[in-house]
Amino acid sequence: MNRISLLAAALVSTLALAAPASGFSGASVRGSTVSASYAAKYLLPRIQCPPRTQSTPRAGDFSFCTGRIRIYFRGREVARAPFSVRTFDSHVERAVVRRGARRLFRPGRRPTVTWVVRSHDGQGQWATRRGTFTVYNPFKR
Amino acid sequence: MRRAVAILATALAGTALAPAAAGAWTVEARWGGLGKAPGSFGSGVLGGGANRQYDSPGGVAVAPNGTVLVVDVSNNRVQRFTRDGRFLRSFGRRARDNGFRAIRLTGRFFQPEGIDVDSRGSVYVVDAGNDRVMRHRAGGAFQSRLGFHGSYPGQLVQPWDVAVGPREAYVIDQGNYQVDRFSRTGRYRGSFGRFGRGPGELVTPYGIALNPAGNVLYVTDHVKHEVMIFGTRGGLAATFGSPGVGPGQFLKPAGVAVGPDGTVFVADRCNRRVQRFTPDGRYLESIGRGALVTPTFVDVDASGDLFVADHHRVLRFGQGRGLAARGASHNGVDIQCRHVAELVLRGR
Repeated sequence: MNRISLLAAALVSTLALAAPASGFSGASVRGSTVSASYAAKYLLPRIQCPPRTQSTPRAGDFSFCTGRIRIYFRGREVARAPFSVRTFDSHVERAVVRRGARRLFRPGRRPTVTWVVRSHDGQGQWATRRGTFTVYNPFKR
Repeated sequence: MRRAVAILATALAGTALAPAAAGAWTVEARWGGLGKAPGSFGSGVLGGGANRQYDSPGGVAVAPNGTVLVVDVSNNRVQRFTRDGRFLRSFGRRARDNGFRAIRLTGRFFQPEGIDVDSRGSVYVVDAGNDRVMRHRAGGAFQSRLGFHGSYPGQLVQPWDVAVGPREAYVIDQGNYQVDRFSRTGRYRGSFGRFGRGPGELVTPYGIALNPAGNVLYVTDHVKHEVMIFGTRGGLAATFGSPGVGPGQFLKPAGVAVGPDGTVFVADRCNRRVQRFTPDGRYLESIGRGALVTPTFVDVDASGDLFVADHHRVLRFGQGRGLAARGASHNGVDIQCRHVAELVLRGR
C-alpha cells in the first residue's frame, strides 16, 4: 500500500468518525384514518420515513427506515408488519391482522387503535414512535 | 469454514484461465448523450441538484446475440444497441405507484436500474422505483414479474441489480438489506444477508454478478467500500477492497461483472475507474482512468470487451487500437462523490 492510499484511508476513517451522528427521529404513520382490506385481512397504514435518513453522515448516502409496525387495540396486539421505506418517502404497507381480531374491523365499525413503529436508519440508530389512528373498512356489510 | 473454502476453490478454478494483465485497455466505442431522443440517456426530468445523478444510464447487459442493452433511468426505458453503439430499439415507459397497483402495470418502469439477460435472451429489468423485477422477451414483450413491494419473504424494497444464472435469478434488495433468490419465472426461493457492518452484512448493496460456472456471487457494497464473495446459498467466502484511492481500494464500488475467464470487473465510481481482479479478489489492473466520469454499471461480452455505463454515455473498452483519446469532463453533478472532493482537497 503506497503513501497516497494510506493517507486516503486515514482521511476516510477520520471523516467518518469526525462527522456528527445526525439524530434519527424514526418512521411514523401518516394520517389519522387507515383503511382495512377486504375481509379485514390487512390494515393498510401509510408509513413515512423522515428526510435525511442516511447510511453515513455524508451528504448523499441516503438510506431507509427499516423496522416493524405493531398495532394494538385495548392493549392487545391485533396486527403487525415489517417494512422498509425510502428516506423522505412514504408507502402503504400491509399489516396482517390476527385471525381473532378481524371482527374488530368489520364494515360499519371504526375502532381507534394504537400504533407503535420501531425502526432504524442506515447507521443503525433506532427510534420508536407511537400514536393512534381510526380504522375504516370501506367494504359493504 | 469448509463451505467458504469450497466456494473459493470453485472461484479459483477459473484463475488458471485468467490471463495476466495483457495490453492496455482503450476506448473502442462510445455513444450516448443527454436527452430523450433514441440513443440518448437522461433528460433532467427528475429535476436538478441531487437528482441529476439519475440522468446517467443505469445497468448495461450484453445479450447472447451480442447486442447491448442499456437502462435509461431518467427516461424509464431500456435501449438496445449494437456493440458499436448503433441504436436498434427500446421498450418501456413511465409509471409510478407507491401502493400496490404497480403489480398490474406491465411494460412500464419508474427509475429502473439494473439489468441482466439469461441464456435464452430474456431480459430482466430491475424496476427500482416500483419495487419489482420485470422479465421481458428479447423483443420487449412482458413475460413475468419477480417480487413486489414489501418486507415479507419474497418481497422487495428498492431492488437495485439482478444476476441471472442457469436456474435462479439473484436480486439485490437494498431496502431489506438482502439478496433474494427467485426461479427464473418468479417463484421465491429464499434470501440471505442482513443489515450491518460486520462480515457478510450489508449496508447499501449495489451490484451483483455471477461467475461463469453459476456458483459464486460477487456483491458490491456502496457504503462498506468492499466486494463480498458469496456462494449461491449465501455462505460468505471472502471479501476484498477497502476505502481509498490505491490499487484494489474503492470509493463507492458500484456495478460488478465477471468476464468469460472468471476475472472480476468492479466499477469504482468515485475513483472514476474500473478495477479488474482475479476470481478470489487479487488486484490485476485499473481501467479507464481519465476516460470515465461516474462509472456505475459494467458488463463483459463473450470476447472479453468491457462495457461501462458512464455519465450520459456508454463506453466499450477493449485491448485493440482504440479511438482517439477524449478527455472526460466532470461538472460535479454526482452528489454521491462529493466527499471524494473533500478527501482530495485535504490530501493536498
